[in-house]
Amino acid sequence: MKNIKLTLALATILFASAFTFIQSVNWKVKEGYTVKFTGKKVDGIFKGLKAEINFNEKDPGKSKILASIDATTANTGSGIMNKHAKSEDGLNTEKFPTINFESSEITKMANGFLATGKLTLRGVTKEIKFPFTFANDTFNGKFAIAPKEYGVTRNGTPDEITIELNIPVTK
Amino acid sequence: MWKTFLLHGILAAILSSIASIIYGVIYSTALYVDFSKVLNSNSIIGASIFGCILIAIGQLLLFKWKGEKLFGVYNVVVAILSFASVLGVLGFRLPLDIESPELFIGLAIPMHFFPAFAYFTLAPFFKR
Repeated sequence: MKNIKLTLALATILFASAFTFIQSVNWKVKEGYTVKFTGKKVDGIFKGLKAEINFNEKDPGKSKILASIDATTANTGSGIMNKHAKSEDGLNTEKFPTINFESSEITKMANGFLATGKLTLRGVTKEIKFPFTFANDTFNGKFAIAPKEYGVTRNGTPDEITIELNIPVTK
Repeated sequence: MWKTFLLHGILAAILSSIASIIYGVIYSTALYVDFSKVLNSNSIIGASIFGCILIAIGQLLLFKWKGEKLFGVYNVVVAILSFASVLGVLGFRLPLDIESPELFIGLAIPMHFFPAFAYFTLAPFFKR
């Protein structure tokens, strides 16, 4: 009887530890991250990234990423272009001060991962998919959006903006 | 004769540099901004020397060609060119790690007028 109890206890511990092993990890964004945007005749950076990252590279299916960027921090290096970017027909940062992303699915690919989720920019929410990698505690990803689809109609706005992420994280 | 123009240019450059540096210190202190990565004492002095010596060379060449007759027109041309150079500031893009780039215009634009302003200010002290 004792042996059965001991075996059951060991089995329970092993079973539980297996689940502990694949449990997702909460990551915090470290200083030194970059969120770059590039388009025709315009490029710059965003600051003010906040994110709740629950990610385990061995079990990406259970991972979840919630991120927001302070849109008012958009910096192109030119005061005039910044004003255009933040204006009412630009990002309209007065009314929509943050850009948000919420993942709905993260899948493993041959060379990294694929994140699917909802991007809310200027109050408009659209589903996006983008590949990213995770190595040396750093997320790297890149995706393109069409600003017009999010209501950005300012003259001179590029048809496509590429967002490049380089986000070092810590547990 | 060229020595007079050169001296005029050098003294104007010194005056322009002093005015620009003082203005830069007051502006940066008042608005809590730091653009020293792109606009510092060295770049201000260099730009002042370049601007003032260029004005002096232009005036010297004009003097050799037509005497003092066209000095008034020359002053107008220098003022217009100084004004046009402001476009360079409006189109200038700062490194992305510098914050508040919209305040850079207020710092740099007045400085574009200082070389001409200093040169014209000292002109009455130089007889041709």
